[in-house]
Amino acid sequence: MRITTNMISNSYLTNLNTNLSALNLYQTQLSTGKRITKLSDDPVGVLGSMDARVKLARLTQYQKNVDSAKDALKSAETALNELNSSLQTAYERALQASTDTVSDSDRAAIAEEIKQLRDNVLSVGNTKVSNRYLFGGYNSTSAPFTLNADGDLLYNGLDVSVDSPALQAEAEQSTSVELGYDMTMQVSVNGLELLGSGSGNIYNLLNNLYHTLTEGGSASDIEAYVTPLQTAQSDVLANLSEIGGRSNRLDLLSNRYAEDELNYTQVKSDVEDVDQAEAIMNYKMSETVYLFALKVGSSIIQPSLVDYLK
Amino acid sequence: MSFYGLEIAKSALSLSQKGMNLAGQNIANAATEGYTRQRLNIVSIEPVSLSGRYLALSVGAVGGGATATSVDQIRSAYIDSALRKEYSSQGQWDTRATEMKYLESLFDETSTSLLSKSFTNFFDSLQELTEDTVSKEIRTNVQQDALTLTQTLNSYYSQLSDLQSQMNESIKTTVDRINEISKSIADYNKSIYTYEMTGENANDLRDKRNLLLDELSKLVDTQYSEDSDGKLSVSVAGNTIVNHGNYTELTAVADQTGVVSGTTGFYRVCIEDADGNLTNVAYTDGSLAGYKQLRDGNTADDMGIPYLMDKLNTLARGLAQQFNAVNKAGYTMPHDAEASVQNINFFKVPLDGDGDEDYSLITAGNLTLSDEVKNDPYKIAASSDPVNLSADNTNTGNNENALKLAALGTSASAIEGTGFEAYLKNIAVGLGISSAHCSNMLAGEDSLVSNLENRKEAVSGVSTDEEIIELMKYQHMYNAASRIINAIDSALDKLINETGMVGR
Repeated sequence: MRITTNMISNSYLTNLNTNLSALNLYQTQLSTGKRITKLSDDPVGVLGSMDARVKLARLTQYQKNVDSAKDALKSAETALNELNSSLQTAYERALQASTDTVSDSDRAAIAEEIKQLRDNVLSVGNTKVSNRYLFGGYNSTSAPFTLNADGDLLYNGLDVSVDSPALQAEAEQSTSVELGYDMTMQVSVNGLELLGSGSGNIYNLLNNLYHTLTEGGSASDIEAYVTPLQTAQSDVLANLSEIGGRSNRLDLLSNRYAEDELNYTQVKSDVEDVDQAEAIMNYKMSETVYLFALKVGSSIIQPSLVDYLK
Repeated sequence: MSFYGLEIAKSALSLSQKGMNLAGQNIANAATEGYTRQRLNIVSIEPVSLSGRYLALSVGAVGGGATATSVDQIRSAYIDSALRKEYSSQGQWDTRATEMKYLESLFDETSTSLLSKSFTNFFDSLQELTEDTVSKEIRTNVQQDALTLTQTLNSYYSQLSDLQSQMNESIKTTVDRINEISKSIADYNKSIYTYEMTGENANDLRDKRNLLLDELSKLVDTQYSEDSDGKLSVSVAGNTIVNHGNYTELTAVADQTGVVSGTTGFYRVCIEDADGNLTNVAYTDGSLAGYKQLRDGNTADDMGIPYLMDKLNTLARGLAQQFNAVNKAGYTMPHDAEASVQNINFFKVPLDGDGDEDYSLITAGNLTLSDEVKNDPYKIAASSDPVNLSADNTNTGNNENALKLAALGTSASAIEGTGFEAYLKNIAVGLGISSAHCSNMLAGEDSLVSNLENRKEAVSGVSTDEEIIELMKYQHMYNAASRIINAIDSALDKLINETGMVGR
């Protein structure tokens, strides 16, 4: 096959261009740290990394939801702890007051304390965090626990001590949030769960005890309150442990998400990121090839027959 | 002794001059694009022939020297034809690969793609809403993120639409160029034919015409043939565009509607037949075919801009249908004088001629928030029951509908059996695969073309070394011929001036 001058220079230029392209590619890889700069570089690989990206984005949001759920449960725990200590004090006072040895002035003092505890319980029931009532079920903008004209406790307008379907419906209202794929969890505690309903309602118990103390109830009348107070306290403790259980689940979820985040980031990185060592090797090699090509080219292109004829 | 010898030497002199001139011509044109090397077609002059000058009747007659009958191009028509076929393919794949790369960068999910991020932000803000349905800030975030999502979709769609129009315009400009080339080829046909009537080869004119044929092949697939009279005709998909000195123009008729986009004024390439009717030209290759495919390609196997537009439209419709269904089922948040209501659309649905909502009228280019939600973030229906600020249980914290809205983001069957983000991902990956395919085909074609061009160069290219040798050859011939003239001259001189001097 004839070789012409043009062929030599064309093939030289083409090869030089190929070398420069390779050089360019490795340079881009090194400076961006990415193996894939566009979809067509590795479409199937990109499939996996895109999946990982979407999951990571979701994970970040779920993690946020888990954190706010934990905060909500913590507020509930604080409230329950307060109720627990209030009930403990009330129980001790009730025991005290149920003996015959207590004087009238002592009784009055105990009654006053019970009154304070009762009012505290009401304010716990109406706990507000960043302008939202925590224990009102779906009612987050107005106080769930109110007193009617007779001093009866109302929850969202319904008398707590009177059982009714409406009250039962209220008791089931609780806010959930999405914590994962197809996973929701209740993150609020219903006010009726918190304070109890019907005869076991803590406010009503304390209120009734107060009235019994101030309206001349006998020791045995007061003694009648001791067991209900204990029951109420154990209910509160039961609630606490249930909340604790929920909190634990959230912690486990949090840990799992942290691990998942690492995994997905790894998957994404495996596909997209360039192995720096390998890239530098490739770059150096193509640089060498390029320099060689230049050198060889210059020795072929220049001389011609004319140089050698006299 | 006759002057015959001088004639022989004279032919050598003029031949060697021609040879040296030709070598000079070749060397001067070594870098000229499309130049085919030329060679003298040298024949020896016969001693007894009608074209010879002297009729020699004796035995051992010597030929009359040498003469150049023609200057020939060394060119292979077979390589030319194979090369032009590959030029057409290369033209098509080049066009497609370039535009595909641009489309890829639009949908690039490996970098911070705008559309993907818009989805993520929107779905995240919906999750925030489930935690606090009352906050105006959070609701405004949802509203703004949703608006950004629609605006991003709008922008993607309009970029695709613009590109489609560009492809359409490119069809017109390519057709114009084809017509220019047809005209030039027809002119060259006339010139070459006229010139070659003198018996000479019109080498340089042919070179120029060949360059035009090469360029034409890159634009559209052509068939050409030169008949025995030397008349060239060129046709595209069976329609003759050049017939010797006559050319027929292709017309780009603007009577098509864009696939999917519905834009009017798209071009159809036609040619006027003998009766003056316009018939379609069914070209299949060249950059013209590339533009057409990009402009009209509507399936996964034949991926062009309309395919992507269609996918985005489906995405927009899916968004509207799903979110509207959930928002309408829930109750809005009352505020100021506005009560808590149902049946509020999240995204706007255009009305058809009868005034009914028609989801099929939604495109990625016109998707936007409903007027209610756009003007009032409280119209995002987070609650599953009416919200009443003056009731004992206000129901303000009811987030059941908000949970359903947020669940649409993670739903694995929101649209055509996959989630929204998964759908977007599938579009991007399909695009990547198609683009990689185009680039690979182009690389293959480049390699084929390069190979054929090399073979053409090998046959027709000028090698300066070779020309120098030729030059030397003719130079020596000239020198030797001059010596012959000297020799014969002195012989004649002897004969004329010094013969028969005896006794003078």
